[in-house]
Amino acid sequence: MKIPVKFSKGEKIFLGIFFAAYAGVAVWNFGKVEFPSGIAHVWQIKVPLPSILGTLNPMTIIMTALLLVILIYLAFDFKRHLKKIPSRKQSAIELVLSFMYDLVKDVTPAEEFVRPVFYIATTLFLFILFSNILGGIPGIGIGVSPNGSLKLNLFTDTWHSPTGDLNTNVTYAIMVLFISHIFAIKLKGLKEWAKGFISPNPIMLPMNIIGEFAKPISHSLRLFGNIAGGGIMVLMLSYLVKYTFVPVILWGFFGFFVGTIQAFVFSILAIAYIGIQLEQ
Amino acid sequence: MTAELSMAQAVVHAAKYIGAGLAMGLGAIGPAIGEGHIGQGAMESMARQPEMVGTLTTRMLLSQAVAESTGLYALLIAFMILLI
Amino acid sequence: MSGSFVNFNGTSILQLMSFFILMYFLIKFLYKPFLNILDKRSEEIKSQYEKADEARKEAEKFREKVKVEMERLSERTDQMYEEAKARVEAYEKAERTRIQTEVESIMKRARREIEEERSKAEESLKANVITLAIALASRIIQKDLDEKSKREFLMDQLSKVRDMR
Repeated sequence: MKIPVKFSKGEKIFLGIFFAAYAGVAVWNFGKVEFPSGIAHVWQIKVPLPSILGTLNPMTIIMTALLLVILIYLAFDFKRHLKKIPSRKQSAIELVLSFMYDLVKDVTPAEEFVRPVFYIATTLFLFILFSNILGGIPGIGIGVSPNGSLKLNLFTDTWHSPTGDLNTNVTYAIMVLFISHIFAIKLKGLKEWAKGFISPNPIMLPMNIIGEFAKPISHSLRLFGNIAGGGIMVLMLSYLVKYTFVPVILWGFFGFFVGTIQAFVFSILAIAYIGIQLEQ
Repeated sequence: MTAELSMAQAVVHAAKYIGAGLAMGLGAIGPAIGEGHIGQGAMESMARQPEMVGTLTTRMLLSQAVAESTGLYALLIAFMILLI
Repeated sequence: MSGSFVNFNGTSILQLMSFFILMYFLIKFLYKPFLNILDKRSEEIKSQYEKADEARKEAEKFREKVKVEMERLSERTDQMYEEAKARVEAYEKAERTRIQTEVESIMKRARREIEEERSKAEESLKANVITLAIALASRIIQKDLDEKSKREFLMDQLSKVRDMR
């Protein structure tokens, strides 16, 4: 079957440059293949001044800032070109947003909490989606050797994904937990909320507390395992083919497919946790 | 790998590989069975109601992603044993 | 400095801050305009629906009116048809009787005329028969009789014949 694909001139030039650069980088990397020994280690710096921050992961911070810039630019672009009869780009964004909105509306029982939950869940979804997709594409990053010296990864590794760092995931999962309880207290009052912990009978109190603590752990480790494990597997398989052609397929799988599904699962679980707490 | 290893270090190395392999191999059993069940249920529902294929596929992938998470914990543990 | 890829440190605080920064800007640029446009669109659709409903109702009313009018018209045509039919029938009947009487009178007259003709013809025949008989008799008898006596004689003969008959 022949699929008629038509590229404009600009797209042809872009694709030509892209594949030429890809082949050039592949040949360049082929000359100096070495086992990615530092794959389970990340670059960290200690903040010299005494503060609550302690140690930091600079790559995560840099990539988060980059993603913030990209997302805010996209949102600004959306607002600037907003029309009543949508263009193709606008309708694609509207499709995603209205899908999330319907999802939140179905799950959230209280009318006044629909919009806050929608804001939180969609922000989580967009950030994690972009981060996961970035984490599947080969890019520039700074890695470390086990002995602590830094090295520049020029397309031998994927872009460092913020969600491939446990800090991001645990923070967001704990944030969702806190938000769900804050909303529950706001909606039901402190007494009713506390009654929820001894709901069938007081014997279940420790079980309920453990259940609440298990939520963020599974919530965050699921995303972290997918993205970090996927990243390490892409790196190892890329090493096996000397960083040449197979990674394209792996980006497709680990970047787009798994990334999209995991971003979706994370935001759906966030909505579900908040929705469960909001139930009367 | 350095050439000179004491007996204790060699045992630790061997135990790392064995442990990682066991963690991954045993940890993959549960998710595999679970995902198989989910796929079976989805296929049966699709055969019964072919007009629901789109929705069912999305839901199936979602449930499989959730069921897969225990396998990914195993993968993570295996990597931690192996590489750190 | 390097650390294990499973770590938890001060980065989490920055991540939390970045999340709220992102949420603030996305609410401002993405969600609020989107929800506004959603509301506007739904309101517009609602008003359109209402307008369409009104128009439909009006059309329904109009149709009802047209239906009544049609019924009235059809009734009227039926009536007219009946009337016309009755008139035609009456006319037919009158015409028929008129023709019949005319025909009868014509026939009566004709019969009478025929009667007259016949009697006239009988008369003339009688006269002709007499002259014929005279001519015949004069030829047969060949006798020289005067006109008067001849006539008397023949009248006698004829009355005899009549009597005999």
